[in-house]
Amino acid sequence: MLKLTFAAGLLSAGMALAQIPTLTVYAPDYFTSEWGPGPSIEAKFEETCDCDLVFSAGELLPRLVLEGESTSADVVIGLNTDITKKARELEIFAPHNQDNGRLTLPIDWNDEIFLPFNWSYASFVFDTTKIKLPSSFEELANLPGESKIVIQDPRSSISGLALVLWIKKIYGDDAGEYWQKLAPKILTVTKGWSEAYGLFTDGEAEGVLSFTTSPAYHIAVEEDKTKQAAIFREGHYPFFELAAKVKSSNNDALSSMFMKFILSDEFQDLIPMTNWSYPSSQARKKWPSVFSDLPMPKSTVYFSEIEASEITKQAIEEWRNALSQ
Amino acid sequence: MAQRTFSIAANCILLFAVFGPLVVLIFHADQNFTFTTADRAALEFTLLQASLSSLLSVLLAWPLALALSRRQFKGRRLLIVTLGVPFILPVIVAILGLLSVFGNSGLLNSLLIFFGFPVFSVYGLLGVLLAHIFFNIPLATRAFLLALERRPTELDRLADGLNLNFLIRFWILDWPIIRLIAPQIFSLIFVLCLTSFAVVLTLGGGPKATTLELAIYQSFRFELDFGRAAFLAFIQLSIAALTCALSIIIFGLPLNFNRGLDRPIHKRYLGLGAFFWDFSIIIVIGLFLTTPLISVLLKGVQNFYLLDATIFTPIFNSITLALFSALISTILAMGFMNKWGEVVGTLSIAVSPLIIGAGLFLMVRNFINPFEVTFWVILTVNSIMGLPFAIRIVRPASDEIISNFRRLSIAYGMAPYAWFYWVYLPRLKSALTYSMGLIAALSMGDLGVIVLFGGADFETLPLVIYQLMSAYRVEQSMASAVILVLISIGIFLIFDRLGKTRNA
Amino acid sequence: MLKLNFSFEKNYLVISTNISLESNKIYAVVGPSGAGKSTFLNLISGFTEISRGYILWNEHKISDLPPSKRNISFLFQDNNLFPHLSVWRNLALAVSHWPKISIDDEAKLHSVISEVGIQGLERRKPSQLSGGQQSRVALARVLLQENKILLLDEPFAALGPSLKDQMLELIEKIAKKKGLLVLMVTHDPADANKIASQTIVVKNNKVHPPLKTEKALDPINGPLADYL
Repeated sequence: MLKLTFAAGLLSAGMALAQIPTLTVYAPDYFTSEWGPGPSIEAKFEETCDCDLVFSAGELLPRLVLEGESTSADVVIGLNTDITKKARELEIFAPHNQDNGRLTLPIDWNDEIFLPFNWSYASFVFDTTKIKLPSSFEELANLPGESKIVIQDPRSSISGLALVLWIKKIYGDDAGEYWQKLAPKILTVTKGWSEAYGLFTDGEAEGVLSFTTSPAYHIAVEEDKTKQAAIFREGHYPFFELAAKVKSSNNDALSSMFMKFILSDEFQDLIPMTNWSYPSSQARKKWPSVFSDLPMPKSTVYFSEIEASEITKQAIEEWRNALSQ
Repeated sequence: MAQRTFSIAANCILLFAVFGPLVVLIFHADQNFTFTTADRAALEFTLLQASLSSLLSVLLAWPLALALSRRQFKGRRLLIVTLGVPFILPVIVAILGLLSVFGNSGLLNSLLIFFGFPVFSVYGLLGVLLAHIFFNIPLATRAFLLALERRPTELDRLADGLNLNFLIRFWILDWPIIRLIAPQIFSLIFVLCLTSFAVVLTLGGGPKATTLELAIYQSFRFELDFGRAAFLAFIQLSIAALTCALSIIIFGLPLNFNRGLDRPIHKRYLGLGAFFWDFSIIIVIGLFLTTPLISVLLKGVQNFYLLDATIFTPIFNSITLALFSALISTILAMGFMNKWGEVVGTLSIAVSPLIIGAGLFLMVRNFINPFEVTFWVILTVNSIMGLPFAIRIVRPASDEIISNFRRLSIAYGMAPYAWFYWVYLPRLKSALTYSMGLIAALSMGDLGVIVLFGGADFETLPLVIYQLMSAYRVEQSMASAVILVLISIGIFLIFDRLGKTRNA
Repeated sequence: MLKLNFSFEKNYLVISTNISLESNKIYAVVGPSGAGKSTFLNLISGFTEISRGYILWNEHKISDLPPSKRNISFLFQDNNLFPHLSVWRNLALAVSHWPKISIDDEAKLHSVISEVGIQGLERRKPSQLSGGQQSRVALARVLLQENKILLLDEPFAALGPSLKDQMLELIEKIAKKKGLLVLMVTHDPADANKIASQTIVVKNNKVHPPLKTEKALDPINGPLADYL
């Protein structure tokens, strides 16, 4: 009698296990780390999906390109706008089938393939105990005394690229000239955001290229209000992080469920305090107060995907020339 | 005979794992052999900073090694071990540490301001060189030290007996050794600096300080142009190969000499002038190398309370990875125990881990998906990265043992197994353990291929440090870095102790 | 009877010979610097391969055998012992390559140890011995190998004159007792005079047939007159 029950138990457990589908999500390292949004998102999704969400970390696009059709990814999350054009050309993604109208972004979003899950604005963050916040690019180029900023390299960093495009959009053909004016104020150029921000928090530079949402961390976690983002008159360049469904996945039901989940309040609620950016599909009044209280740029400047692809090479060259004097 | 087979096998493994990926990548993707003016500039700068860095490292290392070899003092052992630490630090931690001392708001400038001197900016070529010699002087010093210590103590006694003065001793005893080892060290450091990227950029102050590695990174990750990335990597590799080959052709290969009877290190009798010279060097260079490290340690230690139990898994993973890499590297190194083996082994670090990772993937994907066996991939790459060091340490010892005792073993009629058991391995033990300790320590801090393959299923300490930084948690990051450093030093010391029971 | 009929060329060294040597005799090997005395010994022992010819020991061809199978023992100029192993182990390796040795072998070791006079030193390592003691241990090893031919390449050069003489006497005693054929390279005519009845001169690319020692070392009319 016991043996039979035992066997039956094992069998049903086995069947149950076999029945729980897995959703494989590719994400960047910072996303899946325990200090990133990954763990909370996984927990929340698994509450209702009856599935096992598995993250796989690594360099997203190169990996997808290498894996090709045989990729085990169902969904990819954490892509940035700089590679959407290339990614699109690879034809590895499927339409997300979500209502773009639900997005609360500063620009109109029409992309059927890439779905933003959070966003922020590029901006310079300063240590206000050492320096007064500049309110325009002109003032930035005329920072008092020996004050310096740290920026990232547009060739190796998304935020660095955002800055180059931002300046290009505002100054157009005079972008190169502006960079020359700004050059003396730049302490150094780093490979990625982490190094730059590390230099800033260490006090090496008074300002750093970061996001308008960065101060939220310091206020919320460190109770430090001295690090603030400078809001420029000219407007700011937005920065989106995206998710997409993988075409070759055979987990369509689950992936669609996940994409829908992204726009839901359950997901969006998690974003601000784990990824330190603005939720992509939530009205401002629903944000945590530390975010809604942050100063917001009055206007947005932006290159569409096509425009960006045409102008990027030239913009980077101008930057490189100006700084290599 | 067995040695030869093993040698060939080892070389094949290397070819497969390092050069294979490169070749595969070049032929797989659309070939893109464009080489822009920006690339030219990058190449020129790469060569410039690599050669200068190596030259300076070597020039500064040998007086230090000389000084250390002549003096015995408390904490000498610890100093030598500590010297090696900067090399294993994750790059970002090392950069912050360096800047906390040499940066605009660093210790040095604070002192200068205090005394009314003008502020000195480290950003630029100077910064790059500074950072590189910071990482590499310890390496070079240790290599010189090893060679100097290998000299039979009988020669020193002889010099004492003849009452040779400081300068003559140097010329006759020390200089020949230095002259022979220097080119090798130069090549190794050159290759290391060749692939340096984040450090160069940040401390270089801007795009003028761009290296080929940046271009490779950009092509690979941003433009998804694997063909071009591989092409540039190939250029990088060729430069490395050329340099190594040149240094061998010009300077020849190091000989081995030594017929000492294992007597312990000998206290020498040198004049007072030498005493001051030696200790000044030790103090100055020692300070330069240890202050940034101490700064990092201080910053980290005061944030220890921020760490929690989640750090144990990465610690365990890192240690496991480190130990296995060390073992494999050292064993593999035994297959490169000849002149060209050393060159080939060195070249293994000239190929960007991104390339190796991607190429490896392409090579094995029909059999297995490397992304599912992250641990093994990282292990492979780490072991290969450790090769040059293992070879450099084990080979001289191996040559020495063979040249001294092979004949005697033949006289005893020893079969290979007996030779290994009674003579070769016992005498090689200290070199083997030293090599393992060093590589284990190096492997602890290596980020390498994990950049491509990620670590959701296999988190290591360096990855955790990076993740913390990305999440604004700089202090926690520093604290984790300190843990990394302490463990690495610990591992190294343990292995060192294991090997110490060598002879009389 | 050791028949040597071979020639050797490598780099700038050329040696050829066609001589016969008898057992139970001690031969000194002398000649100007660089003539190839050590090489000659290496060729006989097998550490260096001959270019052409053969070596016969009691009518058996030994020139294609490895050194340890030629019935030859040798004492080098240095590195005669393994510094990291104890005296006991250094000797034990001469009879067995396994960590444990049989009772018989142990007895053999003890007997040889007392024969050369190094009792009480078994546990020591070579670096803890004096030059003379080290030489004796090396000699003990040779005894254990029980080969009939003994080649010496100036193994006692680093010892002082009186110690050297002692060792030479010991060699002579052992050689007589075991009926060995000894070939001894030396730079010092006194050594040759002391224990070698015959002397082999190596000169002008040739290894000459043995002469009576006094004749070979004759400073006026001998083959080495120019050098002595």
